[in-house]
Amino acid sequence: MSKISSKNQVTLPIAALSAAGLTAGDEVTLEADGAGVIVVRRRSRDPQEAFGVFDGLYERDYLERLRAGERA
Amino acid sequence: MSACVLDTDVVIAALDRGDAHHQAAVRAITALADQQVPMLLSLINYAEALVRPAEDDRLLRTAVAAMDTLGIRPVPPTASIARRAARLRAANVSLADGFALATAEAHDASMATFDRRVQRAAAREGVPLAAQME
Repeated sequence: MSKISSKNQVTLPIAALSAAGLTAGDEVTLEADGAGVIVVRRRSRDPQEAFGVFDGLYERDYLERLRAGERA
Repeated sequence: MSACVLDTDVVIAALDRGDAHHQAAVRAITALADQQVPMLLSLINYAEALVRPAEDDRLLRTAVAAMDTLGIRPVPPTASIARRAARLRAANVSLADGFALATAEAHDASMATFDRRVQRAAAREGVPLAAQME
C-alpha cells in the first residue's frame, strides 16, 4: 500500500505501472475523478491519437443550429 | 509568433473524422503546431465543444486529453473580453463567436473558423484569418 507523503508524493506500485503500460520517464496528467479517486494518464504527444475522438458525437450542422437558435 | 484563436467549429471538425471540414481542420491545426503558433480557445468555445463529450465522464476526459495533446490552450475570458463579445453580438454573430473574436482581438491573434458569418465579422473588425486555414 502506498501513502501520500507530507510532500504530496506517492510511489506507484510496479505492478500497477506494468498493468497500465507506464514506465519511468512517461509524462502523465493527474486528474481528480470524484471523491478519493485520481486518474493518472499518459500524456500523448501523437496528434493522430486525438483526431477522431469526437467521431459520431455531433450531428451535421449541430453548431449552426445551436447558434441559429441563439441568434433568433 | 502571434497566436491563433480557434472557433468551436474548427475544434469539432478536427476531432470528428466524419465532419465535412475534418481534413481542412487537421491540416490547419497541424500547420499551426508545426509553426509553433500557440492555439488558444476561449473557455466559452471550450465548453461549447465539450457539450456532447460531457454527457459521459470517460468521453469528457478523453476529449480534454485530446485537446491537450493537440496543444489547444483554453483561455479564460476577462471582463473586457466579455464586454467586447456583448458588443459584437450586434454584428449578428453568436455570443460564443463573439467571445472567440474578442479573444483574438485581446491577444492580437489571428482567428481560425469555417463559419462565413464569423469570417465576415472578423474582416469587419480587423481580425486576420489564420493563413493556415487557406
